[in-house]
Amino acid sequence: MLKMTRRRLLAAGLGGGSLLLVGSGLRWFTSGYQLQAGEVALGLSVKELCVVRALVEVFFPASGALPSGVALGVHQRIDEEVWAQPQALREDLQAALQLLEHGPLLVGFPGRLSSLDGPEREKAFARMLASDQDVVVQAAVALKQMAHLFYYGHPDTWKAIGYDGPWVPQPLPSESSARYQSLARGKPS
Amino acid sequence: MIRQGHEVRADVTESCDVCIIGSGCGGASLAARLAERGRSVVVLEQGGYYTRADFDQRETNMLAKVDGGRGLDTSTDLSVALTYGNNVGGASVHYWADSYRTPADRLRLWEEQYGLKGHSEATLAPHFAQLEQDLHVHLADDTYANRMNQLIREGAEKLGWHVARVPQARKGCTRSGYCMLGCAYDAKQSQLVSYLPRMVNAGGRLYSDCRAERLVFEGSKVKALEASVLDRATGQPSGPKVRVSARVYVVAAGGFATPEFLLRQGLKERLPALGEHFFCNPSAMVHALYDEPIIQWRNIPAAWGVEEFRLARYDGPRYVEGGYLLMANQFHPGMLAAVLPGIGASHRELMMKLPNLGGAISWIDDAEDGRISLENGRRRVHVPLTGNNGLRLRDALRKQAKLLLTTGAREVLLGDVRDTRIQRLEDVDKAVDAVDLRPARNVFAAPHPGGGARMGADPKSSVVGFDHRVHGTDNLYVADPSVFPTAPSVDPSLSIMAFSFVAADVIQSSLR
Repeated sequence: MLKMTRRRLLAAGLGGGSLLLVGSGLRWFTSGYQLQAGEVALGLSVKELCVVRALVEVFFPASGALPSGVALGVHQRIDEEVWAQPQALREDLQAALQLLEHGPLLVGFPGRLSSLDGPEREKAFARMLASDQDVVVQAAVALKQMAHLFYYGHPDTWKAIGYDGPWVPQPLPSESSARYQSLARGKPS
Repeated sequence: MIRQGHEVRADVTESCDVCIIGSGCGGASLAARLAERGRSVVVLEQGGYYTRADFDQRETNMLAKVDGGRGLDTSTDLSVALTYGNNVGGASVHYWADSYRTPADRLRLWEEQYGLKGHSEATLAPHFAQLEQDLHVHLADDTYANRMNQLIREGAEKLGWHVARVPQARKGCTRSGYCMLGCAYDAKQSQLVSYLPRMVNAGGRLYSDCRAERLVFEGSKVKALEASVLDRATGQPSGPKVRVSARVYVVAAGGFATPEFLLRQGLKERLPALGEHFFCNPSAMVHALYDEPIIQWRNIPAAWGVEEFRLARYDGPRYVEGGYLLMANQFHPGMLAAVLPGIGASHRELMMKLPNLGGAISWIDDAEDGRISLENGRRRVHVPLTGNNGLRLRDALRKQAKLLLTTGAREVLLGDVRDTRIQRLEDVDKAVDAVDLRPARNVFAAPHPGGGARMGADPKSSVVGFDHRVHGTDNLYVADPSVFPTAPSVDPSLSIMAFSFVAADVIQSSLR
């Protein structure tokens, strides 16, 4: 749910320009980011997938009957979604992730989003969501919405929240999903 | 015949009377009408062909199949989520089946203020009657009303607001509540089960996964249309091309894609109104927490509609209230979670109360022009939420909150990033006045786009004439809501099809 080119980021004004410098300027700093077992990054870079995972961790920790978002692979589903989007939208989402990763510096937190501990990460994200900078809010809202769609769209959350689920028994994934899964397994479809 | 992208392995050349781009309400109804009158028709649809067997009622699967932008497209500043179809049948496959005639006051406005000809109430009346028969349109009876709809009716009546049953295009509805994810029971009368089969039975041909790209002009006449076959899994061209030679070409790609396609043909210089005057019914969603189960995801989305505020009220030049329809809202858990405010524990706490969550939606009758443009080859959709649109949105939020609190909601959530919540009627005005309408601070949707190729006499201020023909061309037409001078103030599906029937008459005459 994002439309934000680099030009648009610049057009957001001094704040947007500064954020672009922080976000895109640090795009190439990729040290310290590693995939975990079973993860693949087809739509996102390794760094971007790690940022998404960090967000999913704070959005959806295991809680009561609700499983953790990481255990459900919500971050991997976002990678799939980014992979399936047209190039322009894919680039927007990637720029948003760079912004979110380095945005905490601008809202009073000493470090990258993914390096903050859980409670600090959540606070930093909440502060970006409440930012006065349109572009920061846009990035935060886009990622928040995607993550929540895929978490609560997952059948393993439904019983806990009281959703009785579809009447059609069998899930029928889209063609793009089948292709992505095939690529993720390293096998061309 | 419906030929899907994966079945086309080599270049194809087609020849026909009428080539139609798009298979939604505008294109499919036009195609059926012309095919049944003996015209050879070829329809090109960019999206995939999915039927009831593919509708699995799961949001994350269905968004990828039948929603444009896979459900993630937005206006340029992220203020408004764009909802449109990208599949055979277009948005009719995920729409709510609300089926209103264009109100007489709106048709008069179009005639008197925009000079519209050939689309009067008298002209359209037999078309509406035919459509209502073909699509089994009937008023929603009480068995269609889930608890949220019952509350909307009760609340509106308590407040003295005019509320009415919503006409529905359905036959044999199971009340599953999955209208927005495609009807797995073929009960909702989308184009998939209505005009497209009729078009095919009459000999029409449809190519899915086929993106129209270039009109080949010879002077003012279109000689051919070039299209690319797409790989459905990636949305990228798979190799083969389709070339169609027709006597007439009709763009019916919907309110977003029709102006975009015409802009890509380089017509903006000649037709400055192209992409301008865009409307989309910006929709504000307000959520409510009840002490009783609401189960908003079951039964049809909108059985009752509050029509009290359909027309805006002014005191001289001063806006007073209104300019929108109010209805019950319907979400399944994924999309609801995406639009609910908050993160972490506060959001989780809301989701744990899912059965007790309900809400309302308003469709704003746009009072400010939006715009569709191309920037570095990319479509941009500008939806202004300021000026009169902002006034209407704020008033709609106010009325929705009052309505929901009147129905006994324990708490109302405006859904903004500040997570504004209201418990008492007397707090509504202050809370709504404080809502920040800057980009991305709220969740709005754009379900009914149009106006970007509007109808009129003057090529300086309109794109098509009253005969639906693009100004300055011999054989290029538009048949979808892009031609409407303004939003129709109700769900547009029936209006779109009635206008297509007018276009069918004109085109049929031109082919004699």
